[in-house]
Amino acid sequence: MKTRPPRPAQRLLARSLPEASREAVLGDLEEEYYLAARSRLWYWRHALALAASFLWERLRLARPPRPRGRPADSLRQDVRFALRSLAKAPGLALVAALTLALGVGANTAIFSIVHAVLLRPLPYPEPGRLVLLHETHAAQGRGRAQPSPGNFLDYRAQVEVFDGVAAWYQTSRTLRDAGAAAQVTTAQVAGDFFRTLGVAPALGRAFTPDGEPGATFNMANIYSGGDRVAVMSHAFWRRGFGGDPGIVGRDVLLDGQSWRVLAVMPASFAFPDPGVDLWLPWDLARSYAGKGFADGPPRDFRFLNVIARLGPGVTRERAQERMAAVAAGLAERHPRDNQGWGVRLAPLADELVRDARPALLVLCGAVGCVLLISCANVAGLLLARAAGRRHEMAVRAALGASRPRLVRQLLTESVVLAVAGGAAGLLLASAGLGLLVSLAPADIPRLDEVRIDATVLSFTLGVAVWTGVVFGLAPALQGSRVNLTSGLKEGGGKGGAGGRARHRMRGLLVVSELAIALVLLVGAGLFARSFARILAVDPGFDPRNLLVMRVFLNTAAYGSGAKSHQYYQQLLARLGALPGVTAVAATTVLPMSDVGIDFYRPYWRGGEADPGGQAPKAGIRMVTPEYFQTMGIPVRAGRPFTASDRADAPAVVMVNEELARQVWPAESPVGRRLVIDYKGGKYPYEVVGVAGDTRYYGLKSRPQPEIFIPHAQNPYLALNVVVRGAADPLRLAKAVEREALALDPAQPLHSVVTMDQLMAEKAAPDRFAMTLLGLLAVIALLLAAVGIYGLASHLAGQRTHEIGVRLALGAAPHDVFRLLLGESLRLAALGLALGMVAAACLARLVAGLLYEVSAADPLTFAAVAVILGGVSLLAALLPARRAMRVDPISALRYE
Amino acid sequence: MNRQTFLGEFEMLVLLAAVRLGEGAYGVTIRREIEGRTGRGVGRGALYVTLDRLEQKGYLGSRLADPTPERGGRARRYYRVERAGLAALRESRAMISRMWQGLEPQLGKF
Repeated sequence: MKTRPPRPAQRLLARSLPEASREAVLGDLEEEYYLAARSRLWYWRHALALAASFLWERLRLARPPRPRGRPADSLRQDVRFALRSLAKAPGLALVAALTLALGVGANTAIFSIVHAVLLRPLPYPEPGRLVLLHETHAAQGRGRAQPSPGNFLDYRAQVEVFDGVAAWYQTSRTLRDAGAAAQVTTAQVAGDFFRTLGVAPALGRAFTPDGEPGATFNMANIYSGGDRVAVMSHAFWRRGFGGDPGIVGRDVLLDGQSWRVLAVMPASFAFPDPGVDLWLPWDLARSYAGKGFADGPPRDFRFLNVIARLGPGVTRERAQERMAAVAAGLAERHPRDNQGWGVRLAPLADELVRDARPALLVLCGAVGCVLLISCANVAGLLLARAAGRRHEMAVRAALGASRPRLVRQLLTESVVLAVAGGAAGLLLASAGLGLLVSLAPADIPRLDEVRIDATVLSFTLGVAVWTGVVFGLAPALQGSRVNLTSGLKEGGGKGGAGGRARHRMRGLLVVSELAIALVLLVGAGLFARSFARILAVDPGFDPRNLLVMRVFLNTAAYGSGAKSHQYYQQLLARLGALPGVTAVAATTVLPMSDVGIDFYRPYWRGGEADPGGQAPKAGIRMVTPEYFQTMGIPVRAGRPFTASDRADAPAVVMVNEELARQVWPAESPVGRRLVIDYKGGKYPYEVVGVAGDTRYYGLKSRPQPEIFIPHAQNPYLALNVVVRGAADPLRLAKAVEREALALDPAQPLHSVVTMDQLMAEKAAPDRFAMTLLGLLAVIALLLAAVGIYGLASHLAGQRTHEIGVRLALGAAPHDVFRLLLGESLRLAALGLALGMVAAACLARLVAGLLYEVSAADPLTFAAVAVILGGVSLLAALLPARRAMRVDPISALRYE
Repeated sequence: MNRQTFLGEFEMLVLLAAVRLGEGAYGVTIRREIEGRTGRGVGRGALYVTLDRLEQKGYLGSRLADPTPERGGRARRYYRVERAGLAALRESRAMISRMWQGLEPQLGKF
């Protein structure tokens, strides 16, 4: 049975239909909804369109209202009246609607992002049962380490709490099809990966009936045996194979070997991320059989990502308890690798958005503030208007309208205004959303799911109506408080008893607007300062004019170390000879880049005993001799690698300053020996030089201990090549790619980008938060300025007569000026003071998102106060100057 | 006031559809009939507003049938073309034919 049509849409439509047509029209729409199996969005769209046509028809006919008693009819009458009365003041209606459009539009846009990223359930069955499994080590301060293969197999056996445990590891490989070679992203997946997630393929089967197939991979994640089978992503199937339905059972060439395509996943499946092109079933247990792993798969190489599905009825707490016991058992049986290690289960939904959540929540708060300011602004406008309508209200009251009736009439006006503003805001949001998403950093998950759907629509409608009531209530209560005698006597008048209360309320509104705007400006200021701090950080190398790219040599053709080393020597020589290239080098892992073979190994000072599991670990990087010169990394002591550090020469390393400080705090490391537990043994290496520290994982990251090994002494197949140009390095890209293909047509270069682009990507989340917050703060500033300006002009207008008298009696114009300006500025000062207090309290909430900027940064607070004070002064200045130039004669005549 | 004697193009389409459908003319079928024969989309809002207007002019009469479950328990409103409606259709057709008279050679060129 299909779900009922959305009730709010039905109710809305019922309201806008004339009594006589209601039943039939609602029925017709529902009939079509059921028979043609339409979506809820379809119903919303057509209900709204129908409601609009009926309302429009009504307006067009504008028949004189017949006296009717029932509430539904009088509501319609109210709406019609509201439209007419707003049409009489088109300027005010336009300003108010635009103000609201800004507020509602900003909220709709941010909400659609928050909805897609944080609120919408994950696209897997029973997503609440999915957890990510991390290992923890309190003493080492590690809260989310990746499990090792050995431990994973033990976790997998916990069938009483888990209904499936799977692991994955992402690498890129070269795919060859019809002659052309391309880089694809693959995820090696072990365990019941697809069954754990609960998603079946759209085509084919993820696994053959005769048990689980799977390939084995060696430590460098190169295929070493077993079934070569793959599951393809929907996107890759469409992109690479034109959606060919015969793909299942066909072979694709990966790294020079053919892999059989078992299945294609549905389009909605994108785990662990949308970049994965192929999933390769991985026989983890057999990957480590033999090969020097006497105790089974290693337990100290922590590099797997592990996901588990909780068994039916098993709570996370119970599973967590069970895993604590498992971890304790592992620590007892394998103390060397598992002493001090624990296991932590975290809901998948929370983990996916862990990094994005705080910034999004801050943005939510900020757009909420903008909405409040626009409400205050419109309330101010309506209050001013209420002043001019006292006579009208008095007449209505005299003719028998009760106070609730008048309040309702005025509230209807503001809700109509809010809905109009909301509609404009919706347009604004749908126009701006694409821009917003393109600004967002790529690592915010599920951004591709952002769209304006029924939920977002109802959110916008709710916000619009809610704001209508919020900003309409105060003016409505004010405006309906009628004193018949004075109200009627006043004629079209002004001033009077209600005036003082109204002024107070407008003052209050302006004060709160300024206070909120100040909070937003402080927030934006703090983020801008923090971003400037990040950009000012020295990355430890010179990022200008660097072109970087990735080479992934084919295992079959370049299997041995000597061949790989030779290829890179030739490639670097060719690239170095290109005009415009000043230096060229290669490395296994590059700062700021996410692609590369990045791993850490234990080390200790030569001659000391093996500290066992307690040894600190350093990042190991294989580099060619010119790496330091090309990157602009200073060599602080000793020498850089040279061509004579060959495979047959003594094993040498360079270390970075961070490692040197930790191991040899008081002496020079050059010429000393460092033991590294690497390549299946604990060998000593001679330290020949010390390199400056670099920030590998982005400008905000701290330098880690690093060890560099000459590529000639430990050749790797996959390297990042880095080319330093004399000028814009992107202009070298074509020639560089040509040279690589000339050397070996089957070995294309991948991910060719400039270092500047990589750094911009790393800074993107901070840039996004800063840009959006800045944008919202500017909107808030503008709205607040409009608010002050409106108040000041209103005050001046109300007192034209009084000013005329003062001037006629001999007051100097600048006295009048001071009087009016003083009044506005007193309010502004109060707003600023309140805002300062509020900002000081709220800034602490964003302290965790700031980089080396205190949440109470005095410079930011001072600058913001000066800016907002200046804008307030300017906004109040213009009306006061106008009032000062009033001609006393005409002012007096203006009664 | 003279306007009222003219049928708008859309009004004419709605009346003709109702004549064709006879007993089975209600919102959904009228819309389908027009869309099917003309190949043009018909806005629901425009249709219902026009049906109301035609009823007010006395060209259409309507009755509510029994509620049915596939409509959420709501009744259908069936329309019937009244004498005045038929007269208006005939009048429209006559008017249009008069305007077409003798123009075939010229319009045929297109």
